[in-house]
Amino acid sequence: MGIFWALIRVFFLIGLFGFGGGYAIIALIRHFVVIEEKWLTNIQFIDVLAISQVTPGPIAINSATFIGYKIGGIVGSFLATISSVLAPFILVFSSYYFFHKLNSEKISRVLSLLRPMTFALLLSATYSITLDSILDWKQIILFFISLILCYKTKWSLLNRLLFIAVLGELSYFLIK
Amino acid sequence: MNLWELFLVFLKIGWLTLGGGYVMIPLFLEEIVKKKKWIDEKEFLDLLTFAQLFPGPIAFNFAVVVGYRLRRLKGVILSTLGIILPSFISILIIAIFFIKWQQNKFVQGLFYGLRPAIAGIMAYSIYEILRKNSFSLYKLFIMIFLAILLIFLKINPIYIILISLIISIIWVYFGH
Repeated sequence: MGIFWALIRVFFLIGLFGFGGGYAIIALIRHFVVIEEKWLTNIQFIDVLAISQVTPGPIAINSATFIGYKIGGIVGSFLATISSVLAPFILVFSSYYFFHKLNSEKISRVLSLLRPMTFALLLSATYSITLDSILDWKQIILFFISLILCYKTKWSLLNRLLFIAVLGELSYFLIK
Repeated sequence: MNLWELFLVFLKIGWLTLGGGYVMIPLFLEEIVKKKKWIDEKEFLDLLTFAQLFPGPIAFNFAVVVGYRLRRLKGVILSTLGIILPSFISILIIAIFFIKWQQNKFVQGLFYGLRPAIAGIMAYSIYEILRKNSFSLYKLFIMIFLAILLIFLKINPIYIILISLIISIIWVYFGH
């Protein structure tokens, strides 16, 4: 029972504090899952991120489903997924139900003031992800190939990841 | 529009989006406004602005308001279910196989390449944000200060999010 409560608590909080969108939420998920609860090692966490980038859906929901399954089986997976969207659901639904319209101008200003904070979250997530992703010279080269593909090509995210996955596979087996 | 049709539209968009987030918006526009004509473009933008005011995945928040707007409570239940199910099912299947096969050499090689690929993509997103926004020196200082707190002191991001939120709300509503 304890493990289910822990999953519900952690993913409810991740949903509640998931401001800023995109990669900013990674720092929040990582803090709970890797540092606080130690459900995954940092490298396993990066693998979950990689999986969630090649499957449909937002990172917060994807990681809830994956980690929920790893920690608590199908039931854990279901509970974690529901918990990850519970807070946004309650907030959005009740606001829309009661007010229909909000003073979006003021709230948007609050959200834009949060931008330096969400950027700091992105910096810290990128730091900890990169640190364990480039453990030898081959991975350092793959890291720069990924950067260059982002910068120089208009390939989709999926194509870029597949291309580097193939290079990674080849270098893993062929080059010692 | 019947409820089944509403569910199918959200299910379809849920399947089509890799990487999550804003990729979904043009697809929503295409399906709900242009093809089905359930709402007009102006209302679409109003609902999108509303959904963006809350924490949580934007596609999910948007499903909550659109579902409720179209078919009240039944609509919300079906739209949110439709948007989550593809992510839930695909991650669950991958999790079951990944946990069984993670020691396999081929799987290890795959993630050996994917890790630096993800790190590169995140590093590039930092560059993109810096290129598109001109942050004041003052904001850059806050960012770096917060990033240091997160990276080296391993402070729970929730505290940083809460404090930033409180300061921003006071600033907008009571100050300037």
